[in-house]
Amino acid sequence: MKFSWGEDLPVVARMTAKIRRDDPAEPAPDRDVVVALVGNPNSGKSTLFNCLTGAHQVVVNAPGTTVEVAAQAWKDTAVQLLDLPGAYSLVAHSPGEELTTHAVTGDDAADLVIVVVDATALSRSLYLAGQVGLTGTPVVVAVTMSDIAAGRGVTIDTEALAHLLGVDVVEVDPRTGAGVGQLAAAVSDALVAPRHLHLDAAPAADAAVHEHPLAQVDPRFADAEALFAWVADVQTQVASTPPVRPSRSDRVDGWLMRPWVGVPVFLLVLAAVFQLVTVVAAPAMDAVRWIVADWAGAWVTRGLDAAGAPAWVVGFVTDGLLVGVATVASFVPLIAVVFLAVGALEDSGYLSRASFVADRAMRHLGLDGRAVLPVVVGFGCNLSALASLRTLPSARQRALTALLLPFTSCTARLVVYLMLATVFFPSYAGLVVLAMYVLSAVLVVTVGFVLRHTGFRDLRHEPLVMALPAYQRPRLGALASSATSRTATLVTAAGKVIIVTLALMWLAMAIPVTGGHHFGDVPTADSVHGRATEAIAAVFGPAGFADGGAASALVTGIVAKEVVAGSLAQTYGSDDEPWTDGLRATFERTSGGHGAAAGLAFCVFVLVYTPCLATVAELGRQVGWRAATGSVVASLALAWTLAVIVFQVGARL
Amino acid sequence: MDLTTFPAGHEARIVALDAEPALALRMSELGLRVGAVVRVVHHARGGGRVVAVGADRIALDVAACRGVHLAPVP
Repeated sequence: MKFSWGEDLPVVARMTAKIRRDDPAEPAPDRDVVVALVGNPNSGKSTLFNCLTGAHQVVVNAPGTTVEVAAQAWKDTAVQLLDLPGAYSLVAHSPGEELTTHAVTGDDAADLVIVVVDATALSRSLYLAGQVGLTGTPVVVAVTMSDIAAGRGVTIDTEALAHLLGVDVVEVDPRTGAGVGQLAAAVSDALVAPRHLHLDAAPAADAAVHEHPLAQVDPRFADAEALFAWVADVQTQVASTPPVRPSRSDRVDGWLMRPWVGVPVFLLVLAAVFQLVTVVAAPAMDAVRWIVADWAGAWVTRGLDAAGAPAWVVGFVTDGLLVGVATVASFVPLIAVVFLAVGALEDSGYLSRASFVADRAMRHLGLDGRAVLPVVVGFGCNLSALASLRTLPSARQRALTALLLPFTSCTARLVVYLMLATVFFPSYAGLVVLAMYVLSAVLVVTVGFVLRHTGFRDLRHEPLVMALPAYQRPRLGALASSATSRTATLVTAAGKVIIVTLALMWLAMAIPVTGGHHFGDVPTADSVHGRATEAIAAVFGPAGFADGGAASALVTGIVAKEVVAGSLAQTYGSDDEPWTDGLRATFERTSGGHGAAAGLAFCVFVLVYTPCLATVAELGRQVGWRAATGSVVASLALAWTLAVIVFQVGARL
Repeated sequence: MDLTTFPAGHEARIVALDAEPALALRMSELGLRVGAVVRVVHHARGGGRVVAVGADRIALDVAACRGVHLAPVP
């Protein structure tokens, strides 16, 4: 795998210790104690992290990557707690596991690791614990999911486990907080007097292990086989192993794995998430936008006027800054709803089943089964889809899916299709809209194919093997806490870009290029913005819509596609004729009598070109600005090319 | 016989893993090791299977199932 963390791991380095472990009585100011949570995916690790840190956490991408790490101080202490990506093994199989491995084994490794042992998956949890133990890092073991394991007839003797491992073993239930106090005490003790996992019993690959057929293929197997033997030995001594009996989750899966039940349920869940993104969040977004831009805007205007501020200052603050703030704030309810919905699906255990059900279909697109949710959400809102990408465990799969999502046709674009189709194809409006969605799907598949054969050649199709967590009731408190921090991270990052860009656009519209106008009081046509869109309009000559009004609508559409339709209506409407007539007449003129072909080309351009600014900002955060810029440039070029082809072919039919 | 042909509701012992080394290692790490006793819990759409390894449940697609060779446990 082509993946490197460089010389150091800045995530851990940033949190280097303030308190010297060798002299805890005299905390030195230059070091922070770093405790890392390590565990299998779905082991309850992140729930434990939330429980230990409280409501506020910082979710950051590890530098130069799309791997998320949550960091926060342990409640009422100076200890920094890291929630590392879920890992099955320190023999890394993904960038997330590589980060976890590095955080445990690197030069700047964590001071102590809490290994989260999932009682329902004791074998693979102990294997990971053994690997951590072999690194020499001090360890405390937290056993989770004991209640679910008990429901499956498996009980664990934690005292015997502590005795065998030689470290503190604490049973915790992060959902209720049970055992968290004991865990804190154990960690506190272990920071003063570090304890290391007792591994003398087995893990040394002996000659017999080296003769194992797999060990001969790959030397890593020799160490793994030795560790498996140790795990089996420990497991036999500490856990009951009754015959497998169907659990509650098995009974539910018994239905959901049947195609005629599982697929409809799956489609219903997707439809519900889609409705949440499109229908439920929309009024909340409108309300927030109204409160900030209109209500607060009126107060600010009155305040500035009363203070005697010049007109351009009032214009800049209300039409430049406040509109930007309103745009950013309006995303908050949408993104929060998405994070809550996706978190609930993940927390309940259903998302793993949905991924398993969808895996085969998604593989035809070269994507992970888990990408089905973001792709479906993308047809509602690209930004929400990017937000829901976090459920994909592979960072490379996340990057590939992120680059494809802008080609899913969001509902904001649907408004433009409907508008243009009604004007130019009144009898076939529905067909035109359908064609746009078909083109969107074709683009996702085609661009995905191209990316997999260029920049993502390292993504191989491996057979799917995944652990299925037990079904559980989602915990609203933890979900709300996680959604709040993730929404804040996303909106803050996107907000800076949006506010600065909108302020610059206001400036472009405020600066006159002809005499007789004052700064901030100039007709759009005589402003820098007006002249720029006139110049841009010429580019669309081969696509049949070389007009300043159309170009202006496309430029403002970069901020949000919702404004394209309004901009067209505003530009082409007048007291003498409705905007539909003005639009039709203009496109007929610019296209040499092929207005319908130009209208269709305009729709295609709107589908393919740069998604909204918030999506671009989030894309930059997730895949890096270089890739995001490349995506924007490529989508502009592709949009222009397709629009030209559509117009040139359409004009000749 | 491999996992694709093994009936649901029965226990079996894994006798061989026929997969790329990295995948075989990952399967082993998840508990699907040579010698482990598993129970086929569900047959899923498209030839996939869900197997129980103790209290744990592992889902495999048809390609992965073909690499897991089993012998019935008497």
